[in-house]
Amino acid sequence: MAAGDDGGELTNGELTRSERLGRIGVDWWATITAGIVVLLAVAGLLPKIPW
Amino acid sequence: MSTVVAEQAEPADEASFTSRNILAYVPGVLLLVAIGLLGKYAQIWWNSLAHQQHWRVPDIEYVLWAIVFGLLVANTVGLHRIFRAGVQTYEFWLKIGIVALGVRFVLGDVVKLGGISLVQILVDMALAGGIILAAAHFFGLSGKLGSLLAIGTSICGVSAIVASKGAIRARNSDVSYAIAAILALGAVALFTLPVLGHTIGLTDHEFGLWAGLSVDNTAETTATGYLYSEQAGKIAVLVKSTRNALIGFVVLGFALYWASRGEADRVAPGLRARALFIWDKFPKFVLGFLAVSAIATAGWLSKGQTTNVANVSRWAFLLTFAGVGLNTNIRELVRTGWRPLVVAVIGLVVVAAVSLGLVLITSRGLHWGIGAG
Repeated sequence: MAAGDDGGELTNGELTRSERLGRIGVDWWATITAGIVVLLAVAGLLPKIPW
Repeated sequence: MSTVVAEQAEPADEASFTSRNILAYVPGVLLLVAIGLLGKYAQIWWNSLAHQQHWRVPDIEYVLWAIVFGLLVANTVGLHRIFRAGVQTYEFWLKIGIVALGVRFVLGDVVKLGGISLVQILVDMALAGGIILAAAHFFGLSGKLGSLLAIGTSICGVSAIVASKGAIRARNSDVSYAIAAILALGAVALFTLPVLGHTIGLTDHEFGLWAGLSVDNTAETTATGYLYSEQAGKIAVLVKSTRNALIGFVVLGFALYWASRGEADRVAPGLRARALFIWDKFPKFVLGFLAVSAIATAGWLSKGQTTNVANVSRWAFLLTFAGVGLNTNIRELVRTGWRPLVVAVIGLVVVAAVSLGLVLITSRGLHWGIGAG
């Protein structure tokens, strides 16, 4: 049993939002983050990034 | 790399994120940024000073400056625990950098170079893996420590060792030894391979292939390649990603071997179960790299936006290089013990020699190869 986002208790099969986010691995987080950057670039919304 | 080897006795698959409190990462990430920027501007200052004073000195890349500054901090004043969570995110930045780097590759070139390096990786794995297992046996290491060193040295470094830990039921002490040995060799390779590459007269393409095939840990592979040149760095990342993609197959092979001897849990039978096992170990950021390469190949990005995404990759790698230095504790590496290190050194020399031979044969003899944009 775990506490839900609203403070209520969840059954074993349910996960809190933070637990669900915690189950996403670093590989996926890196892919999601870089994916957002690339999508912004495709949409022409990525600001100029100097080097 | 981790600051304290003892803490690596229970390495987690997702060691990059060690806290659920996002604020815990801020000091360490700021330190990565500070060390990275210091490295970037040190290159500019060094070149400017050399130019003003008419010195004839080599151009020292920001990669080396960032690593050296990180090493100095970690091994002199030490890393306060407030910085640890953020500093350990360097692999997260590495993976962001790799995914964004996909923008600099045409998908056809990825497939071609991936295919070429796959052949080289398989030859490398068979030769080097066999020699490392024999050396481990000769020096009296446990069979599982030998397996971990073979996996780490010939395949893909710490990630592969961590992925194998549960599958072959290795002891924590063996895992710690293997990781420390691999990390020590990564540091050695980082400083020796670029010098050797220049001495031998390798092209950027050849050096990138060599670094990608022979340096074990992805962060060190990337740094070694970029120390040589940006072009070499890009090729090294692509080849290393191909190596990383094979983790699942190799771990499955060793898991089946140790299970057949009754010294590890049985792997579920059937093609579906084994495909799931391989998928579980597969580095998912490789898919991100391929997706970004496909977007770039489709021509959905203007030249300016392509440059912007490539610069995101450069910044992410800058944080990675700072993290490589900050996470290297030389005293801990020295304490590892000499026998695993000797076996790992044999592994590095064998892998480096075999892969250099393969690179020279395929690029100069068979004229295989492509460039990166």
